[in-house]
Amino acid sequence: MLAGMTIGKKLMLGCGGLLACVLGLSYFSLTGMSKLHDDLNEIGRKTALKIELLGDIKAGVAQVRAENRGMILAATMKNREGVTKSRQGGEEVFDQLDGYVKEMRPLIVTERSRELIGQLASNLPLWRAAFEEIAQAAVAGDVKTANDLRTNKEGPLASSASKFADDLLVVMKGLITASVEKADARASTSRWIITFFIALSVCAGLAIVWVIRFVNRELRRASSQLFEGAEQVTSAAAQVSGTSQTLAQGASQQAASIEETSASSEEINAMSHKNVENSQVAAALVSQSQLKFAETNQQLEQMIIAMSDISSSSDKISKIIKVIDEIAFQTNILALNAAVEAARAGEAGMGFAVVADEVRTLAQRSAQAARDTAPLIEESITKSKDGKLKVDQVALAIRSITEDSASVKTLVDEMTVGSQEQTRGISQVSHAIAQMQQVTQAAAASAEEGAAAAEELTAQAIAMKEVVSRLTTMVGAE
Amino acid sequence: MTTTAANTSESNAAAVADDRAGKYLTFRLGKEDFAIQVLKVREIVGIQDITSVPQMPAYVKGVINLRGKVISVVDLRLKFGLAEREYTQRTCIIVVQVQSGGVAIQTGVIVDEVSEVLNLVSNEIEDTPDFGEAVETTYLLGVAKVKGAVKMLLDIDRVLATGETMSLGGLVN
Repeated sequence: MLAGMTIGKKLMLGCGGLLACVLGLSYFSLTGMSKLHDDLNEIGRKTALKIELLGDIKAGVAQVRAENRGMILAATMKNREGVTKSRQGGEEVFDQLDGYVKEMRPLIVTERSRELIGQLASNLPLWRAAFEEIAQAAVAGDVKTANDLRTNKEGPLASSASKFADDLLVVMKGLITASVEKADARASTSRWIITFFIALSVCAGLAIVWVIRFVNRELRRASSQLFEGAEQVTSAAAQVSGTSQTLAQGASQQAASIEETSASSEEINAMSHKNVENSQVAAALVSQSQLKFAETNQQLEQMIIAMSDISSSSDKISKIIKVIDEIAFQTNILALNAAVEAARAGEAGMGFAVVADEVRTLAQRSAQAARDTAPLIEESITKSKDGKLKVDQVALAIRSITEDSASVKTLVDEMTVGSQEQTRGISQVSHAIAQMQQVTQAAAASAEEGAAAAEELTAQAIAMKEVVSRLTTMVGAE
Repeated sequence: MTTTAANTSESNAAAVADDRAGKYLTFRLGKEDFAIQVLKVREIVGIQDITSVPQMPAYVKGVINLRGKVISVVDLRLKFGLAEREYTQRTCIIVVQVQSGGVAIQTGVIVDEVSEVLNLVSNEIEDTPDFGEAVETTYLLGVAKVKGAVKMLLDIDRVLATGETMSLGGLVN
């Protein structure tokens, strides 16, 4: 239970216990003393006063008896003056006795005393009356009556008064004895209680000492741990300082990089704007080229027609050349036949042979010309066929190019849209980079603050070490 | 005159040379040039429909009607054992007149192409080179050198006289 409590609580508990003990001790000492004082007061003031008053009462009783006797004696001796004097003295004593009884009444505590004082108080007027009768008899000079009255009437009353006083005295003595016993008992009780409280106080003091020792031990351990902690905090603070500086450098480098990035993104932004424009221009160009392709298609079809015309013309030319060739061949044969005939004719056919030879030469030349033309025409036919094929291919190609250009236009349009989106994206990127820049600057500032804080931490750790060394000195550790 | 030329002894070279000189009709068979003496030639016609005659040798293609006269036609390629070739527009039939058993008959000879009529002088004509005994060269009158080329001068009488296919041997590829 103690282990779970704070030192303050423990100390407070100990001190509280001690204080409670001291308070209890003081209370019981004071109350005991006060009661003893009361008892002493009872005994010393009231009972002693009552005893004194009783003594006075007894003395008074004795004096009344004496005055009574003196009065009777004076009466006997006919001394009227003495009688009056004794009578006055007796009356004074009676007044004094009344005063004593009155004074004593409030001091009475026991029932027996009250009864006795009541009897005494009721006896006194009777006795006084008897004394007055005796006094009157004495004044009258009737000694005998006075004596009789004294013997028969006043004497027993005086005796009983004396007896009441004696009884009261006995009662008072009993009271004193009781008070003394009571005081003894009370003193004994107080002694025990005080002893108990002293023992308790000693226990509380021991507990406090134990707590203080415990606390001291804990403090010693804590101070050594604190010292180690302060050391570690110092080194950690140094590390944090270094790290923060590195971080600050890094952050500034990063800030520089981000600025470069920002510039690059600006360039990219400009480029993408340009891209958008270019792609729009490209889209327009593609549209134009589609139109041109359509025109080209038409022209190609015309060209195909023209080429097939060429082809058919070439066929015709070829046929004509064949005819020419045939004619040349026939002419050649005719010329040869003429030559043969001329040879047969011998000398007569000489001139004819020359003509035949000329004709043959012409026929051969025309055959040769036809022969030379034929391959050209053939070639031109072949080429026009090739050309037709190629033009067909070109037409096909242009048709597919037209289709392709349509898809190119779609692509270029998509590119335009994409570039616009890219522009938007890049402006977002620029925005993000600006934010990053702010964040990085904030990070750089934070890192510098961190470095400053780390230095402050170092200073604090050094201060803490001093505190720890003071604490160590205080608790007396190593 | 032709008869004399045909009967000329081979030993009398100078006399023969003089006989062989004269006008020749040249034609082609394949890549080779041949020549026939013009006086043997009756006329030249283009190729025309040939009516084939059964039971004839392969080189005899049949007969044609030449202006009302029926003459036989010999394919000289087949006669010389060359590969047969489809006739073209250039293919001609040379109608020659040969002596067969003392009778002059006209025969058509199919050649690939007729070239020209040449006048050969004696120094252009040489004797047929000797190919050895195994090779028959008697149907040749000789060979003529014209502009660096060689033309074989055919003795058409002998060519058409033999009933067999003749071999040109090494002369024709």
